[in-house]
Amino acid sequence: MKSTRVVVAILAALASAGVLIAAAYASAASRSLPVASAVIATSAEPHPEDDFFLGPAPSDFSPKVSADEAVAAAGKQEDIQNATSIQPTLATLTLPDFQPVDSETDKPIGPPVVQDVPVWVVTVDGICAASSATRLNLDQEDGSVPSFDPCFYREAKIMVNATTGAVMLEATFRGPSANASNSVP
Amino acid sequence: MKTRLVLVLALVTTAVAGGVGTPPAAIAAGSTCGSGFTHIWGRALDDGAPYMAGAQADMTVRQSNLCGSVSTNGNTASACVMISGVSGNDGFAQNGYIRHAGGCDCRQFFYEFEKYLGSNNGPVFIPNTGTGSLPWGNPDVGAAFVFKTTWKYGTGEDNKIHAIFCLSSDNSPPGGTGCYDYANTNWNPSGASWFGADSVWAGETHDAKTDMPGTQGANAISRYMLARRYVPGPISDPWYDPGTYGNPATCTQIQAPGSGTCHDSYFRYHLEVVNATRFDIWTCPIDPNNPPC
Repeated sequence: MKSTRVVVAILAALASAGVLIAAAYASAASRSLPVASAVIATSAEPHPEDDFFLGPAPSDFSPKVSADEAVAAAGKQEDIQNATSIQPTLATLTLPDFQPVDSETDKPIGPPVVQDVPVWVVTVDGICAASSATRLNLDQEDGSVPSFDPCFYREAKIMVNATTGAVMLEATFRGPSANASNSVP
Repeated sequence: MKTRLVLVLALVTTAVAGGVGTPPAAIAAGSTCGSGFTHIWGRALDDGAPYMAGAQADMTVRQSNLCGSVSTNGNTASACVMISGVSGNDGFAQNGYIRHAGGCDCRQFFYEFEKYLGSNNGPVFIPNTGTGSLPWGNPDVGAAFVFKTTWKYGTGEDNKIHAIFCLSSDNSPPGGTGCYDYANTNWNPSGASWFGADSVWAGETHDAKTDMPGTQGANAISRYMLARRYVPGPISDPWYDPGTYGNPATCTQIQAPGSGTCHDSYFRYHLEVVNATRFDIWTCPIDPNNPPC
């Protein structure tokens, strides 16, 4: 019996140490992310190029999901460990054209699915997803090879449902330096 | 006037016939990605129209192994339908499924609209987690979905390109069932003054060391392919079998060595044209000194 108690005590100590170590590690990891203080959107931010709309946060809304939890959820969607800045912003998300359509005519048969849903918009800068070039070179029969930006995208806006914590959408952006090097001969 | 793809269908057939053999034990992408080297691997169609207005297909989801570290690299591999510009800085609109590395390392539905090359917008990922997602869960391996990229023009339409997702329906092909229009562009190829636009059905990797969807034993299938043309006027042209006016170009690829055959220099990416409305693609392991399949 005594030996059992000793073993249990040792295991408990090890477990506690493990928890402490894990907590310390998590804390250190959290500190390493350049997360800015959460802000509340007060004006609209349309994104017609990607067909989503960010509106101001409802004045009487209290999110069940914290900004830290939203950043953690964003980190499960996108690699944010090397981000240069992370900004959580409380806003609303509308997908104005996300709606059921007839399979033959493609005409809408129901209302838009996502309208003014409270979200944390986690804006992540400084990431570098590997290069890509999504275009055919149908006209380049001379064998010329286009050059492309080494970073496919550098910025992401990850929309996290402020009530459920689920990631709803991730829009990516090439960033300010993309155009300079993304040339086609 | 558009320049067409150079096709060598006979070589395609030869390559495919030569590709039948013992399935590899495993498929593996490169341990490092090396330099960016995107491949777009599939079929393209212009049918002599200045602009094509749509591409759709029923696509079977397959896994794409990614080069490098999938936890940190952020690279992708995908299969999609697309309206693609053909010259200069013409852009594209596409939707389909993608393996997205980084935090989630998962398959998700996606769309991407780029008015001109070099536009600021990258892909938009659609996580399958409740409100905002499509209703079918993740695009699991073996599942099939109908993807449509369609320019809605004509009387009563908004003259934009739409990204539509449907569940596959073997009972009523080709259109699928339970369709959702997820998003649309705020431009069209004509308004953007593109030189021209093709309908495209393709897999894509960002790098020669990343796998195209599909393996030799489990091809990534694109079937029930349909196309649409842009014909100015009040009535939008209907969807049609891409074999109606000819056949889609094969071996659609970018930056691959110009051998004209439908496999790359490592003999990794393969394409089999089954008929005018179906083709399969798959990837063999990296082994440049011993082409495996």
